[in-house]
Amino acid sequence: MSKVSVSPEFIAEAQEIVDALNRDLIAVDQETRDGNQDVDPDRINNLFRSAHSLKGISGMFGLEAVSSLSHDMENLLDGMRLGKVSMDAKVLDVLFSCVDRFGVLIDEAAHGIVSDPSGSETLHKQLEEAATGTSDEEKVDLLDTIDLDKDILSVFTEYEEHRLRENIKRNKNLFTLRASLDLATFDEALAALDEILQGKAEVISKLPSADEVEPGNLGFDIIVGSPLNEDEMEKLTKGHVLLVVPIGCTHEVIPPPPDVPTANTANTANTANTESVAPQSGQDTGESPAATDGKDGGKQEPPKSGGGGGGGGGERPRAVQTVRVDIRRLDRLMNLVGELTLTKMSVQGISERLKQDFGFTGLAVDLHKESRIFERRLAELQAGIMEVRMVPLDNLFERMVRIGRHIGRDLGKVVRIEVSGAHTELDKLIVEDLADPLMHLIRNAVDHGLEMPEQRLAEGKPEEGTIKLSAMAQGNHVIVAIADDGNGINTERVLERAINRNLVSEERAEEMSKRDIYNLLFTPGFSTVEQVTEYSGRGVGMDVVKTNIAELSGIIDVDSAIGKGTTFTVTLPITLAIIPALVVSISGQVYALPLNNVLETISLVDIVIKTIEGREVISVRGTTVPLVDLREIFYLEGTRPEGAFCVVAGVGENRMALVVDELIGQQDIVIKSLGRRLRNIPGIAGATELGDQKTILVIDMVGLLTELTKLDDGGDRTKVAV
Amino acid sequence: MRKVLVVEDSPAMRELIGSLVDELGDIQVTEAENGLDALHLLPNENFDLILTDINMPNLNGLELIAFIRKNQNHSETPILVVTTEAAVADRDKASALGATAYLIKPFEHSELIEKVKRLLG
Amino acid sequence: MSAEQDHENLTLDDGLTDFFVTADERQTSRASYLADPAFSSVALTSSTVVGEGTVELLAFWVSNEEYAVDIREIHEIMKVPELTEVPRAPAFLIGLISLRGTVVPILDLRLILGLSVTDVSRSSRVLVLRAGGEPVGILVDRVTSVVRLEQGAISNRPKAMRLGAAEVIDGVGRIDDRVLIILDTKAVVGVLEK
Repeated sequence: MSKVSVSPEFIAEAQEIVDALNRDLIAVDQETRDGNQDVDPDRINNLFRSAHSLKGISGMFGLEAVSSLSHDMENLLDGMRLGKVSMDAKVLDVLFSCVDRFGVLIDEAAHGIVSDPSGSETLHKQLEEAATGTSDEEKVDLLDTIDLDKDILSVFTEYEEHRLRENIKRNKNLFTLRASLDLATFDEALAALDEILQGKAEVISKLPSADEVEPGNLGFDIIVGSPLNEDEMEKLTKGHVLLVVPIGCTHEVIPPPPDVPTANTANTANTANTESVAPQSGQDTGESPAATDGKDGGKQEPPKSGGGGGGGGGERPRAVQTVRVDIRRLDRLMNLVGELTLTKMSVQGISERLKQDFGFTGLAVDLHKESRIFERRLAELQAGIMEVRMVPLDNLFERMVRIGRHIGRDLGKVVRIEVSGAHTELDKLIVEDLADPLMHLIRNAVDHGLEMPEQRLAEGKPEEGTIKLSAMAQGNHVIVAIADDGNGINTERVLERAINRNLVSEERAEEMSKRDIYNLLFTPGFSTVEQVTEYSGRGVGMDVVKTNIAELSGIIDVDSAIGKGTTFTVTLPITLAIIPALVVSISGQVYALPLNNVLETISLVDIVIKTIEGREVISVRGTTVPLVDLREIFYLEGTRPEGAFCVVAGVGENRMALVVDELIGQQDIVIKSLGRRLRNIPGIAGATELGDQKTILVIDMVGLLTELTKLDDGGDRTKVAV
Repeated sequence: MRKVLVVEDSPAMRELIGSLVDELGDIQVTEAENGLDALHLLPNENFDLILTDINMPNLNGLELIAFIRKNQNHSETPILVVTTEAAVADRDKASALGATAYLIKPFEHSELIEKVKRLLG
Repeated sequence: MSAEQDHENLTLDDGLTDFFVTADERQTSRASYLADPAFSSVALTSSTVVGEGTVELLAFWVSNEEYAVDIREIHEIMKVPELTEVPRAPAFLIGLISLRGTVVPILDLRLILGLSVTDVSRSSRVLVLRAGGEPVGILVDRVTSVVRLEQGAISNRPKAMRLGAAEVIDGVGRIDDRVLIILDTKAVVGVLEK
């Protein structure tokens, strides 16, 4: 194992590919269970392509374990899509195991851990075995039996050649559909054609031709195989293509090649496939009612009508039209909305002035009305873009379930993971960054939370441990909880460890509440593991989990009951893209304070400020809260004016009261990053623009609070404030 | 300013190749997700070099190469095929169709840079 | 030949439009480069053909020394806008501005180069450097002109330089009796990352 840093784009894409593999395998599994002998060739080709892409990128990013495994998987799937190997339950199992393994390897890579391929040796062997299928290449190349230009054949990939052979073998009619499509819109036109042909013909290849059929158009030759005859094909594609040219074929129904028994397991199913091809016409009519019922060409019946419309619609991913968008583009749109908000405010300002200077009549009324409409539409636009950014947690949760099971298996624990609220939506960026901390919490729950099966049985609990992973929306926040039914946190052991490691003094330990003690888990340098296991001993502690969550403006809480279990609760804002903020001024400088963490605002006029150990504190609802003056921390000139306010902020159990001179107002802001080079300025979360084109800084409330908490734990103020 | 087209369906790979070529300086890199995407670009642009994958959805690399070679704008444009070692047969076809050079994934960054430099002359 | 020259003029003018502030921006507090007397010299000098092995540099004064940066590195030139101060930042980071939605840090070159600091004057400008996609502005005292230098006229950075300054200097160029200290913009921007 070695440590490297792997680009997040790679991780995201690899993850996506693994998810796609998983989805397609599940679909294939379903198909084979349904007794389909021919698995949808598109599906196998998709699987192949996924393995191929995964191999490509993992190879480039130095993940040899992933690339070599996906290489073998690609080999197997290549054989399968070229008809050399067939899919059966055993092969499916191997493929599923590979996907599991990919999941683990990629998770590791996300943490900078790169394993070498030796860990997957069994899988390699199994893949290799499965891939040594028999070749059923024809004695006579079927491609020689058709009247297709050699030039055209020369651009067919091996797979396309195979599909062409399959169509010839099954006595499908082959056609060249010649289309002339507008240069600007040909992809839509081709997609429309795909849709029409779906279930009635297989598109083997689409070839653009360099000869201009009409000016401004691009010619395409689309090679298809179909049970339809020429007339039917013409009817079907009328208006979409210029010409339907049948491709002559001298191939006649030849009996299937004699069954040559070999020792290979894959062969039996393979032979069965070939045999089923024999009753040609019967099968074809079964597949497409339109073939026998030619006169009904106008009415387009869905394919496989016997299976019911629902099944047919669900299994074609093409039916759902989606666009993959780089989230940065959405950020740009959101920035524009932010700028439009500023424009809106200027317009409203003008409208106000107009009203005051010339009275609320005529144009002033019109402007007022229009600017209201502008405001409403803008809000809708903002909501619309927000909506696009939102993704459900289900993918992430699925991964967590897989990881949890895997860890359980490795540790010899029986784990059941119950998921609820997976449809809850969050900003995609938050979901991405949530993966790491959540994974750690799951690991923690399986590894430390749950007891070994024997111990559970001895305690009178079911052998199987349960982890409940849940999510729910609450206003502008989402609460994700990970609850195990294990032994709970032993506060005495936690305290002992904390004292031993000088994380807390003995005097202080005396007065700590249960909650304070639980929070010690998040202190850097603390770890309750007696024994470092593969899953917990990676140097990533709970403190990192807490930091990661704080970076998302979230908080983490823990609660536990001895013998009953432990629950970690993560509260996150729905989005970080646009947030409500309080605009304030301190010593003439204007700042934005994100409202996520603001509890209340109090006038300091009626408040008694006490000094404890040289630090100012106030009492808020019976709790002592440190009073923080940014003048001190940010080295601002000037002194606290009379009539100042304080903004009480909280993260988890921590509180602070920030002194502000003036409350300017509340406003939705778009936080802009200070850029790669300035990201490490403590206490500053970013910048934003106000209506008057002025740029102001956004205070990092979580960061400030964390900093103050560290100070409380005996840090030296001046040291941190540099 | 030279113009280079990168046709590749994997976003991470596309990004990587694009940025490697970009680093050479004074090169405008255009990226296309697949062959069909590239078709949109070809008639109106004069590329000095085209890098393409073979196995892509919606018009594979071979079809793209054939098209490029038939297209007057680009009949002489060097084409660098970037593909995996598995697709030997496809690679042979690509060279028969007029691809200029190929590079096997995974490749060393320097390999790509060298080939691109050489092909740009 | 003349047709070719026309063509060259065209492309050069095109290149220059990058430096213009567009009409609507001119109405804001940011002054346009167009209004700057230095502009005229840019327009004049750039109408001739640039040969190979020649670099175009923007020359400017910082304190009492004349500096230059590669013109391709410059994104925009503007009057000194209102800056947002950044607490806890190094002294040379004198503030932030927002440039069409992007946050741009502004550096005081004089503090980086170890030169004496005077107040911002009427002739002070901010040169916004492209800086690899995340622009960074540098405050200079006066922009003088665009000059063209043969690569041969540029010598390596002198060994003896003020501490701190050496790291950000690429070389020294001579044109007539002017000595231009050529800045390594990557290194200038790099001080932020330390």
